[in-house]
Amino acid sequence: MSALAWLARRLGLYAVAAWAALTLGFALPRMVPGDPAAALLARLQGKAGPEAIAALRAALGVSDAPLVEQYGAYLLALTRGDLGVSVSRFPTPVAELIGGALGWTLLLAGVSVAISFVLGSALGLAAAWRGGVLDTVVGPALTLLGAFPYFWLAMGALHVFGFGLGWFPLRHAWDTSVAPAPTLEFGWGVVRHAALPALTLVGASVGGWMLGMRTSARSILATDQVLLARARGLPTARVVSAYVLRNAVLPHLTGFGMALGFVVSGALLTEVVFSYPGEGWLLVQAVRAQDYPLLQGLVLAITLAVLAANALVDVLTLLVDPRTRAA
Amino acid sequence: MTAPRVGSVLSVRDLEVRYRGPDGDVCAVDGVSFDVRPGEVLGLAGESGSGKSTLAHAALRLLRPPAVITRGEVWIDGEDVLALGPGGLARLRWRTASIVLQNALDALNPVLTVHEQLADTLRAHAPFPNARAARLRAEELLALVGLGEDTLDRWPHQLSGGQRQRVNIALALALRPKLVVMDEPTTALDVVVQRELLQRVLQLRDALGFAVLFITHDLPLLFDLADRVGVLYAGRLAELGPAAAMRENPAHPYTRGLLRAMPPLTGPRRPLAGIPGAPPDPAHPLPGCRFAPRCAVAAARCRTEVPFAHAVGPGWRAACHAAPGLPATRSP
Ligand SMILES: Nc1ncnc2c1ncn2[C@@H]1O[C@H](COP(=O)(O)OP(=O)(O)OP(=O)(O)O)[C@@H](O)[C@H]1O
Ligand SMILES: [Mg+2]
Repeated sequence: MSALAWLARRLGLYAVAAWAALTLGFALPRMVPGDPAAALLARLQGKAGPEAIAALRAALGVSDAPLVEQYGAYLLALTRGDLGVSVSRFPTPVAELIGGALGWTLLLAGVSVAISFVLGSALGLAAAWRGGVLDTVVGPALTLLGAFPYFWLAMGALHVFGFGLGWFPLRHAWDTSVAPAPTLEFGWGVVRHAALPALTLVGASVGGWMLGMRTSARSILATDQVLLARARGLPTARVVSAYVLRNAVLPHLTGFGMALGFVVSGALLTEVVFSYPGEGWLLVQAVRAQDYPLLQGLVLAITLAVLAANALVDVLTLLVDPRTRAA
Repeated sequence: MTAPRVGSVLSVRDLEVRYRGPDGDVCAVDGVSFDVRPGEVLGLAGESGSGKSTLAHAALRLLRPPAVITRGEVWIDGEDVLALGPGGLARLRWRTASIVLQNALDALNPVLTVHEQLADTLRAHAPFPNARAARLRAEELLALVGLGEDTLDRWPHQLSGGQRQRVNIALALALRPKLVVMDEPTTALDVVVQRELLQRVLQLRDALGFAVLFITHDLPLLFDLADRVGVLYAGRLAELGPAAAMRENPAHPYTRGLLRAMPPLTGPRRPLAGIPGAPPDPAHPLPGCRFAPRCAVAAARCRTEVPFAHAVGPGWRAACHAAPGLPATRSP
């Protein structure tokens, strides 16, 4: 089977999984007793006229139409990016809320996961290649750091560096005293706000990546192909990058993809501790307010993100490992 | 110990290699000496665990921990290999001497194409004016080992075992070395492919003039292939001599046993005799001759006194108390 056929089959698989997730998102709210839309409408009774209520019912997707018809309308709405309307922040569309939080989450958690993976892999590779302090001190220290419960680490960092030393802002994602515009000043505020939560995220996960990379790099270093590459007199940089790293990174691509996929569920604890307005923060808000449409939209977004990340890993693996191209 | 022979491409003198371990050392190569002359094929045979790979790696200083060379000398093309610095070693390895290892697949990088691996090797030693020149040279090298140009852009997993080992040989010949060490290059291949490949190696040797240290567990094969043959037993060289003479009249009881244990590849079939018993545990060496417990002609002296190699003919020596020979000439 050719590489493209393999990829097409994988992507087909993801499409089926995505469809299953969408359908579940349709079925679940209709199976649970108690209609959140009805609850909202009940709250508005007497305050709104019958016409307004009819418009609301339509907006919330509550109808007495047959299920098949509802399902069709639901899918149609999805293709337009219409996820319904938030109950707790009525009448803001769910898609708008999720879209607004997505940028912050990608910035904070996405960048942190990427930095952590690259840094951890580089450290692990160096530890396997050179040994020394990196292997005997830095590695175990980072592993220890990662072993702390994350919320403890995050709150500790916030307390010491934010509250105590005042080096970092305590909450939020940007400087509220600066007009949100693409200016250097605003950008600096964004960086300052993201720095501490990002540091805790990287600190908590970098040890794991390092340990994993160190182990796989060591086993690759013991292979004949690396011994021979060195014997043939190849430059060290070439041996490390093409003969060691490319082989050693393969088993970690899947883990990296998973980590990336779960980014969209937000670094939940991080966003809560640092009051960072990303998807995780939004998710907590939705649960508190019993905002079912928002919750449903978030679950869908998270599922799709995990699937997309898996697809990305498949493509990445295809690029790095020629063996997958022939299988 | 005698001095390295002038004019040899490889001189190994009294070499001892140990694997360090928590429960003491394993002495895998114990006082081995031999020479490889320019353009000749020297075959070394021995059972599994007799120290063949250890010796091959030691010759090019490719041993990895916990292996250490504890005694002896290695000379390649007049250079003291064990005394070379990184620069000297980089010059020696692959310009003067190269190696082909037992497992063809492990020896190739799975994520690079054949061309990338050949070009890496070529570029490491000589700058190429452009990519085209390197590609042409890689193509030439593949043609040497009987592979077409289409192999260049394949990955190792797309090749058969025989093709992979051909690529490894092409890699070993990339810089026209004077010596190629081959550690069981054909063991993983079927007999037909093995024959083809060995014929090719011999043709290339005739055309290019490199010497080969050929290592295998297949003694009859060596007699067909090599100019001279050595037999290793438990890390020691039991016998070394001209292939033709040794095949007719092996001097060491172990060599005789090995010849009886293997079916001839050509000629009539006959029942296999084999050698009773198993090789000694290298972690607990016995005094005296290591082969004594399995030897049909062992005497009391064999269990206490290490037999030194002595000449049994011109350019032929055996380490056996019972071997015939010229007792006046003792050499290590
Ligand atoms: N890494 C190691 N640590 C300890 N002992 C080792 C190690 N590698 C090899 N040995 C020992 O050294 C001896 C020689 O091993 P070597 O691999 O050189 O044998 P060989 O003749 O190449 O065998 P084979 O035909 O199976 O390849 C064996 O007794 C083996 O147990
Ligand atoms: Mg071996």
